Amino acid sequence: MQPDLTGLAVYPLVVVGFTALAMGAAWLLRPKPRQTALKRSTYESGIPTTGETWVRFRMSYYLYALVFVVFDVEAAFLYPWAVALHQLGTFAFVEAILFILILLVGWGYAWKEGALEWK
Amino acid sequence: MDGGAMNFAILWPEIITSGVGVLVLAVGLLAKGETLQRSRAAAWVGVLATVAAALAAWNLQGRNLTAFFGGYRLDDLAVFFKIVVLLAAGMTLLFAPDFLVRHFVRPSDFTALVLFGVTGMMLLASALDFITLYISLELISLSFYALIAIQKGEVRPAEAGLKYLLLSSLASAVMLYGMSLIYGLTGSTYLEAIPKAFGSGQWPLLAGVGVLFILAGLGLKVYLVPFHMWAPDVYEGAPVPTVAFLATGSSAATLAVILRLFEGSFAAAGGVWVPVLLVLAIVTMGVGNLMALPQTNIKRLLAYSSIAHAGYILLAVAAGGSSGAAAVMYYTLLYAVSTIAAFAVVSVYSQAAGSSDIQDLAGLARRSPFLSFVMLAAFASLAGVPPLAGFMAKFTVFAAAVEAGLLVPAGLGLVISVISIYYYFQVIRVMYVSEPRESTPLTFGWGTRVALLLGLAGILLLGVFPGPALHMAQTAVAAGLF
Repeated sequence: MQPDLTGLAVYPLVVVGFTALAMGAAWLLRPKPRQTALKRSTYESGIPTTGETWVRFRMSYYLYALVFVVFDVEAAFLYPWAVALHQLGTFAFVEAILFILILLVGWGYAWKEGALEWK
Repeated sequence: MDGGAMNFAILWPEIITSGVGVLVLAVGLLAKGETLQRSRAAAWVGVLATVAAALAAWNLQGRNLTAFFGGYRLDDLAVFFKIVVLLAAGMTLLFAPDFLVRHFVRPSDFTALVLFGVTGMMLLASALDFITLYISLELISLSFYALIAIQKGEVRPAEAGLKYLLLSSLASAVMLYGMSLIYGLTGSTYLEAIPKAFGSGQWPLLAGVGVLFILAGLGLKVYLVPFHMWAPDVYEGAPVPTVAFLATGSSAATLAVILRLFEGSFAAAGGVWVPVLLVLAIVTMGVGNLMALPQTNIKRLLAYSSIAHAGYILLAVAAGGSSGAAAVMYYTLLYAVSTIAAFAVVSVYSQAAGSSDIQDLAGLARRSPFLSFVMLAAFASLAGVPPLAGFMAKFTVFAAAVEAGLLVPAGLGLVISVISIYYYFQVIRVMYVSEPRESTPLTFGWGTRVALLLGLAGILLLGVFPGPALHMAQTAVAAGLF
């Protein structure tokens, strides 16, 4: 089986073409004020930025993100499960409970190890 | 695709290891204090889990069936590799507590991670579609990221962990790209659908590129040169028990999937990958053996030794056929047993010496005759001295290569393998001839003793009576790969 891939080749053309069209139209239509230092700053309004953007982020953010992903994935799996539970029956119920229990152990581990405390 | 429905009875080995893993993690959290006794208990529970899982796997022999809608294959090949990785995990958990307690690592964490890793390896040995394959591989890698960097606050393990993380992710990316090419051309992620999709005709160029990308991704896990660079650094920096498990379990499981892919799905595309793999296998042998010569650190030496052995095994993969596949399986078993025995000795002496320099092995024979005898057996086996297991394994590999008509590669491999005798016996000479720097006898726990005895028994028995293991490998291959 050799699927026809010519349809796929249209996508890059559409993507490039649409981008060029949109940006070109915006360039034609927009007002063109004089460029000043203020105009060229990253944020034209608001507080001026201080320091470099390349700073190190604390590891703690990473731990929070991981714990968040645990619950995010859990929720993503449990929504369809909850909707279809009546058709799926007891087996699916037991499976989902097992899944939650395994995640709970991981969550308990993170808690006990102090991943939820900001140090 | 008719691939059999949900069949949880064939998952018992994986259910046991993952279940006990979660349990050990939970109980380890609840239990307070860092006493030696409790920590050993966690590792022993892990050992029992591997034994139970190995018995369960043994009971599943001869089933040869496909389940979970074509994504999972339980055949004798999978059972063989499951038992090998369980053996690796069990032996590692036997000698690990001595090391872990000394380095303030909580053994319950280590045990749980080893059990999760071995679950991934067993699933990988049975994976019959790209998605199961990739998820199992990631489960192994994730366990190892943590296992390598498990010594909190120490720089070298963290460095090794980061190196493994980066290169392993790279390998995954390359392999996924290869898989996506194959999927794009066949429209299926099932391994058995690939040869059917291309039929007997010429494989398209893109499929060949995909096959080579997958070879590169998996090659990184089994130290195929030029993807081997990470191995010596990771071996040197990581804790000894982790390295023992990484060197044996991870590569054994990857070899299972290499066999299933390259002898099964990609067999018809042999024209693309066999020449590449042949050349790389010989280069791998050469680089591994030559680079091992100047090493002064035993862990780096064992890393290059692993690379060299990967070369022999991949020569058998390139030779192919039923004898090639059986040689791969037998070699993997012998290599696992010998390497773990060697690492168990390294674990004991490096704790006492505080370093893993070969010079610190001096006079080991007088400080602990038993330890040095196990090391002698392990190294003589890895060097391929008859009647130990390594000799039979090398013999089966080179016999398979000759049978496949690969006379020149087999000859080159034989010549290169002679070099290895030099560096293995250099270490043995230091142990038996050099004057000891200290004379205090080395002490180790019961678990380490059992692991050493198991390793010794394996090396001797597999060498003198290779029949049962070889027969098991041959029957497994005869049953087919899917």
